Order: sequence, then C-alpha cells, then structure tokens
Amino acid sequence: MVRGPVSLGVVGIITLLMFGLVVGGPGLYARFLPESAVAWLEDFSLEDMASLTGGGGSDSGEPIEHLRDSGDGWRPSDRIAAMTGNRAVFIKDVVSGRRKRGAAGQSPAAVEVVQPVTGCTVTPPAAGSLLGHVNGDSSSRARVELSTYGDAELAEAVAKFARTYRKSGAKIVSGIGEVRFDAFDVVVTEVAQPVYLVLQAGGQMRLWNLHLAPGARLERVVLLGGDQAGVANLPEGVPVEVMRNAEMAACGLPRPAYPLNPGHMLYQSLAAGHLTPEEAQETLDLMAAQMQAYEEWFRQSFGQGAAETMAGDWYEGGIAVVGPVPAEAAGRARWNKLDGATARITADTYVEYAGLAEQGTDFKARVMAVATAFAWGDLKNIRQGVEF
Amino acid sequence: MLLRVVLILGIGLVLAGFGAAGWQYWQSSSEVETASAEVGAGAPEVAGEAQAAPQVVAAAPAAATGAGNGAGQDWMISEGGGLVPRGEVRNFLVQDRFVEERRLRFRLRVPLTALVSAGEQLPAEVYREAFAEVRAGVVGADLCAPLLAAWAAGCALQAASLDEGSYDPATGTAAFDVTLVYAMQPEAQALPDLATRSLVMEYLRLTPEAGSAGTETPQAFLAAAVEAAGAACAGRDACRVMGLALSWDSPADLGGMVQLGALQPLPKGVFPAPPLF
Repeated sequence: MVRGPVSLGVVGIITLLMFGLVVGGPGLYARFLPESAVAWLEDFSLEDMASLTGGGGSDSGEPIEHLRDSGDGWRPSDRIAAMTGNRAVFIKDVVSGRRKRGAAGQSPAAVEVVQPVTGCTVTPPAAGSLLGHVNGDSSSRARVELSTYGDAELAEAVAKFARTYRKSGAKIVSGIGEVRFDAFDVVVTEVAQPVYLVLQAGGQMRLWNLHLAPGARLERVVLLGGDQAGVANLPEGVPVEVMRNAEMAACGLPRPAYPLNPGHMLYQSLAAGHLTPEEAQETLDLMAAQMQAYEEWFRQSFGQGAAETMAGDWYEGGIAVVGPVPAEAAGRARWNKLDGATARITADTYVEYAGLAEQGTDFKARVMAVATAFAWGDLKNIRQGVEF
Repeated sequence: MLLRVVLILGIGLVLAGFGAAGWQYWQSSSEVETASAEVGAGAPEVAGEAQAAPQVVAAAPAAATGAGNGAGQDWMISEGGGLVPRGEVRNFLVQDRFVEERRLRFRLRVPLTALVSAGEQLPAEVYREAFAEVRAGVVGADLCAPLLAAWAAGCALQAASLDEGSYDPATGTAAFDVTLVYAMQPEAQALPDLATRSLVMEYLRLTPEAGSAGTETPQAFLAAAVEAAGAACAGRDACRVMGLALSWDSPADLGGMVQLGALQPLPKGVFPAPPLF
C-alpha cells in the first residue's frame, strides 16, 4: 500500500535532480556535494553525453580526433588541450580536479595592477630554462567576472544608452561585455627545468590562469597582446612583464601569424570560386610576410622561433599545456580555480570584480550617473517622440 | 449532384464578379459626370482650378466637410491612375494634426557649445561625443520657429540624434540628424472632389550658391527653405508642403529638397473605382 507512493516519490526526486542537472548544470549541486563528485558530474554532464552520439565529447580515441578542421581554424572539443606542434592531449591526462566554468563566470578575490613595460623589449629567458609559448588569439568564451575600463568606454556606453533610452525609455546599459576579461588556462607540466612563459593573446582582454604541476617552477611570465592582460594563480615572486597590443603597436612590433589550417575559410573560398587563385595568393603572401616578421622578432626576443615553440592558436581554444604529458597521475597539475585567486592585471581607470565591495559604483551605475548629469539631472529630459 | 454544385458555384462567382465590376463602373461614371458638371470642362492646370474649387464648396456644403476637405478619406488616385500609398494620402489630407509621414529631416552641423546651458561647461574631451548624443534634442528645439512663422500650425521634435562619428574635435562641432513633424495651417478653401483629381508630387531642389544669403547658418538655411516651399505653393490651389529634407554642413556644403503635393484633374480615360463596401 505504501510502496507505491514511496516509489513515485523516489522517481519524482530523481527526475527533479536530473532536471536540475540539465537546467542548472553540475554547479547547482556544488554546495551539497563534494568537489570530486561535482567534477565527476561535469565530466559526465549531459552535454557530453549528447556529444557521445557524434560530437566527439568522450575521451575515447586519440586526442587529435577531437580537433576539427573548420573554416575558422582548428576547433577543439572541450576535452583536449593544445601542445606544441599542433598536438593535442586529453585535459584529464595533464591536470586533475578540473572544474568547468559555469555561465556566470568566476571572479578573482583580489586584483593587483601591473604596469606594461616601458620600452620595446622584454627580459630574455635565462640559459637552461624552457621556453613555454602559448598563443590564444581568439576568444576562449570563458567569461571572467573581472573587467577594467576607462572614461572612453563609459562615454561610449553613455552614448549607446542615450540612443536606446530616448526612443524606448528602456534603461539598458551595454558595453560591459567588451571590457570583461576572458580566461585561458595554461597547464605547466615541465618540472625538469624552469619555465619562461610567453603568453600571446589577440584583441581581447585576457586573463591567463596558471596550473602548475608539483615541482614546476616559473622563471618569468611575459604577457603579449590583448587590449588588457593579466595572469592569475601566479606563484609568489615570479616577475611579470606585459606588452599589450597598444605597446606592441607603438613599438612597431609585428602581430603573430601562423599557417592556416587546410579547411580554413580562405581555402574554402578558393575552392568554391569566391576567390581567384591570384587573390588567395596575395593574401597568403601577406600572411607569409607577417609570419616571417613575427618569427624574426620572436627569435630575437626569446632565442627560439615562434612556430616551433607555440602551443595553441586554436579557434576558441581555452587551454594549453607547456611540458610533457605526465607519466603518472601524481605528476599532473592541480587545477586552480579563479574564484578566490589573486589576479595581476593591467588596468584602466576602473576595475570591477566580485571581490570589490564597492556598491553602486559598477559600470551601469557610472553610465547612468554620467547620462543623468548630461540630461540636466533627469533622464526624462532626453526622451523624444511624438504620439500620432 | 456534385457537378451541379460546381456549376452553380461557378455561375455565382461569375455573376458576382461581373456585377461588382459593373457596379463600380456605373458608380464612377455617374460621379465623374456630376463633378464635371460642377467644375466645368476641367482645367488643364492645377492653377486654373483656383476659381473652380470654391464653387464646389459653395454648391455642395456637405462636400466641404466630407470629400471636399478629404477628412475620412483614405485613398487618392495617383498620376498614373493607381492608388496613392496610404502614408502619402494621410500626409496630404490630414492637415490639422501630426502625421508620421509629414516631416522635416535636417542634418546639420553645430558647435557643441550650443548644447550647454547658461553657466555650464563642456565636459572633458572624451565625453563630448556622448554629451552631444544626450543633448541632441537641444539642436532641434529652435528649428520649429521658421515653420510656425510661415505655414505650419504646429511643430514638434520627433527625433534628434548625433550622427555617429561626426564629432570633429578640431572645430568642436558635430553633425546631428533632426526630424520634426508639423501640422499645416488650415486652408481657406476646401478641396475639390478627390474622386476627380489625382495627387501629383513635385520636388523642389534647393541648391543655393555657397556664401549666398540664407546659407550662413543652419537656421538661416532652414528659413530660406521654408520660404521657398511656401513660395512654390503660393497662389496654387490644394498645394501642400509634404516634407523637407535639408542638409547643412557649412555655408559651402548644403542642400535640400522640398516635397510638394498638389491636385490635378484625372487624366482622360481614368475612372476611380470606389470601394465595394
């Protein structure tokens, strides 16, 4: 008599838990379950279960099979990390305790501001150290609740706000997305020698999150590119040097360039006849010149070539490895969360992150304050339109 | 049985179709004859109808409040015999209130100092473009005056925005896109029967010589354009200013267009088909 309702209740609870898993993701249970259990759930999340049907989401086969030759570039699954020579490795084989980031993003607990280098050179690697070179040119899509901006960004947001508000009356402030960092994970498994890290970003605001294997040592970290750049989970005492895109451009330094993948849009366009062979060759020649210039500058600065040392350059890739694949589990790096970490970043006038307890002074509040001041103290003054 | 049903339906449709067409033809023929008798043989030019139109009003007071002034009518005949788009009909006929289609669009360049209030300073350079965007409405505030002084009964700012990227730090000026809507002053004479007229659009291009009178400032150019529009319609019956599009970047870089709407007799052989219901 009782067994029926009890069974129904159990089924209902399981259904609810599964529903929660699908909707909220494994992070929903982070408060109730041990971290290892949440990590296990993430590994076997429904997203990956779905990809088992053909999306390449499981850890079966060779890691390189999880790298797709797409029109945008080499596109990895979220199971693999980049290594030098366009090789791939399963993430679980180089780092343990990895946690996927939720849609809400993570936020460092503290931020220290670092200044970009004042000249046009960086300190070269010392003899006997390994040059670890990671290129994360495209967005990693890993959002971090950390942003920095200045008056130019605020002014642009004020103008956008005014355009929207005066027509619709909607108080929509946009623009924070463009000044928010994304994260790129760098796993260092090299323990035999100190590692000199060169981390090259593209046009975004990039926070490099480091995960070091036991015994790994960093000689120095050089952050290149990006509108702003930063590094998190950096061991104490490791110097950081930064040359953002602005400094590199001011010094006349070349932008990074690497050979295109066979399935790249350029080759697709050529095959489809949208580009003539001459046009394609012209583009390739330009790229070759850029590659050569970057290669020369890189070798001059760091003693080795960019292409031979580079790991990454994957489209929307978010993790790269410097060093070998550890033979044993004990040699794997331990995953470092961004939550609670200290980030060292270049910064504009304002910095925002969850750990900063200044209320009412976030991006939106600042934009609204400026717009209101310009509108003689009342936003209604900028409303427009006639009722017909 | 089925065959009979199909036949009956077919015959019914044919009767309904030809019946409707015949009814429309009969209706339009009788209306045209009536109108022709009132107006006369029909004037070849719109200007020539100036004397005829009052007679229609006098002869048919009902028309003065109905078809005579166009109130309630939502269709007009174009020069080619087709229907005039609804927006243009509304623009031409609904004179006593704002309609979306009747507007003045003005792209003008002004110094940002014109946007500050008394005792106020311009913000820091980095914020000036945003300041201009927020205060764009100020640019349109004084543009209604020339219209109201000439032929408009009402005028209001519909939209004003900064032309993005137009701010010039060297001159401290920026370009703005302003849209005003206006209502027309009431006309002394009622419209003729619209079933006997077609609506004709005329465009007056404004290309003043650089540095000539009326080019000094955006306001001066607007006043000149308003005057030109009024002059183009002056003395003509049922001629209305349906819109203006102006641009003033400097006394040497300016221009514009005025859209006028006027009535003229229907071309020969064209008969309006009134709605069935």
